[in-house]
Amino acid sequence: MSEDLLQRVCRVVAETLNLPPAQVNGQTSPGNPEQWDSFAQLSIVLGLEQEFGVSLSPEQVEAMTSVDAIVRELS
Amino acid sequence: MSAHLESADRHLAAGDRLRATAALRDHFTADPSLAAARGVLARLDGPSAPPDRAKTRVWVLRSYTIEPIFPLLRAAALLESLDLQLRAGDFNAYAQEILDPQSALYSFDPQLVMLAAQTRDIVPELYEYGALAEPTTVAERAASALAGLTELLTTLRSRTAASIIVFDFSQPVQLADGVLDEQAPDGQRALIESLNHGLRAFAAASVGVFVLGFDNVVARVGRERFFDERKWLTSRMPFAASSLWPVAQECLRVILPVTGRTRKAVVVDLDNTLWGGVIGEDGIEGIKIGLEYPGAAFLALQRALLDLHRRGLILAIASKNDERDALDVLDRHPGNLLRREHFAAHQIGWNPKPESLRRIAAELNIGLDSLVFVDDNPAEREAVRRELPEVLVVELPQDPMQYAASLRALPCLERVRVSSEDRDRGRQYAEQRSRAAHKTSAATLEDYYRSLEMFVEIAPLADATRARVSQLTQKTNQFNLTTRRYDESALAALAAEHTTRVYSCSVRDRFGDNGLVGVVIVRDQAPAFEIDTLLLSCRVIGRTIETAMLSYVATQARRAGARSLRGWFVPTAKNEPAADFYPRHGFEPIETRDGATLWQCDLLRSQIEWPDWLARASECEAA
Repeated sequence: MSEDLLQRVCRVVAETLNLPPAQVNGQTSPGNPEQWDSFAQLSIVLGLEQEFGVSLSPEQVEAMTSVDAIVRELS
Repeated sequence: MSAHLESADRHLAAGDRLRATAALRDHFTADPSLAAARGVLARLDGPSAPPDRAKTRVWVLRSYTIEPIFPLLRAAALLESLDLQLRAGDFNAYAQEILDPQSALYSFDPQLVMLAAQTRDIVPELYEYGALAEPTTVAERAASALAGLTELLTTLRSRTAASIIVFDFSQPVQLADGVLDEQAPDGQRALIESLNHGLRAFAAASVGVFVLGFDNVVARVGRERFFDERKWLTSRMPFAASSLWPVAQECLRVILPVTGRTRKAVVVDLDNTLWGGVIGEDGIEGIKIGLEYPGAAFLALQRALLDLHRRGLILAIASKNDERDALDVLDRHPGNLLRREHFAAHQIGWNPKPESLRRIAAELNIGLDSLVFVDDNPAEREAVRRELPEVLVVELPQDPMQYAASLRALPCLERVRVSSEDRDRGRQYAEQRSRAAHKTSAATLEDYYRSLEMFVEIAPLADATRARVSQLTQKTNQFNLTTRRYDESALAALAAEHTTRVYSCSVRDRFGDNGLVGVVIVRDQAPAFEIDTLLLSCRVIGRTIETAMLSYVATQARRAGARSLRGWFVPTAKNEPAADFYPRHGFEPIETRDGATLWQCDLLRSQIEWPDWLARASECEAA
């Protein structure tokens, strides 16, 4: 289940940053790669909200400091 | 991966972009999300994109973060063969960008400018701080905001030939004074309404300025669901994630007609589409159509079709049925809203639907890519999808009560202007049928021309004809020598150049008024006159109107002292009917470039006679 969640998050992040899926993993984070800037952060949040049908609070967004952290916020 | 995406990839691998695009359209329509948009962009935008794809440069002036809609808008536009190059201006810098003639807005040289500003950005008092200001102050602020906005738009209009699309202003979720405000003729709601009214009045009085009904999008989605106040406060992005597509879709609904990327005809099935039941089995008493449920669902679809008919779209029927039974319903059923005269063509019989659609396109003289197909039967839809990927097949929902809504939501059927020709189109096609019947009885072609008693009027571009002339340059594909597209603003700019002349041509005959059907644009490039554009609506092809237009500009050129008349023929996939235009009129080829040929005619030696079976309007002779 959580494996599946990680894959879905990785897919949203990879699509938003226009990266090959293989280049995104749990450690991928804002600034690493550099495409993940503040605007990409907003696009990722919107992509996640559409993908999972949720609305994320500013606190949750604040806590999204890596793909692993996103998975924690969504679990 | 969805079945649609897999099918798109198969078609792309086989080099079939048309079918790949149709599959991607199905994929995106099923779930218009950011992920689906990226799937579309990855496939249509990559290295496989055709290098000659015409691009439309769009500059988006904005008071807030709007970029998240861009992938959705770009993907949806690409599916309509429109390649939008979207650029956002600086955040909340729309006024500076408009006022500074050196700004990036103008150096981008956009073909389209959008202005998206929120009520709370242009009059904060009007949106959320009503209680903090005196009512008279709020009213003054609203009035001066409108004056400021129209002044900015006037400046923008004068500095760019781009079409301009302005978002209107939305009402807040809750009014500061609650229901008390609803009682006031000059309260918060009334003032926002008057702001929008002022904007619409300004747009209607301007050339190439259009309003996008943003408040209507908010209302359709639901005011409470549309906004995400947390996003606004943290990212200055006011929409919820689920509102991105409705906003992008509304942009497309305005952009497609503004850029002339629309479809012309809706072809409908009859049984269980135009009415409930099967006429061949249930009989005229048994079918369901009328004010009561379930007939009301089909009546709602007929009403939507009638609205499209009034908007200038052509309606046609493709049905597997006994022709007499089916037409009998149209002629006699009291619950029916649409009658036989609303349909410009019908194919009722036992042909496969793709064949019927081909025949309808041929009879109406329009391309398959101008057709929208509406049929309740998924198997028929699939057959058309497979054989005719150019046709837009509407994916009707299961519930007939939803049919009308899905038709009304189609961006490719939108219009931003309706000319009198559009309003009369249905009647004109009926007249065309009697002309065709007449043709078979005239002995020679010349007799036929004479018997039509044609009357031709050629006149310089005027305010009243600009919209129609622009529409013709954008929609005419067959008899069009250069296929240069001009929106209204570009046309106005062109007509203002003193070396350029833009003429429209209207034709009347004994069967009725064909309206404005031809355009010719010439440039004085002494000692030659060059034809920039010469086009003719398919309605009047083959009646020597093109010779009359050529003869007219030859006369104009001679009077201006020109020694020769020349023009390019730029071949496209569709303008074969115009390919022999220049050689047929005695022009000689003098240059070729990228498949196009420049033709020239010596005006001293060649006459280019006006066909003597065409009567001229008096303005025409005086010119």
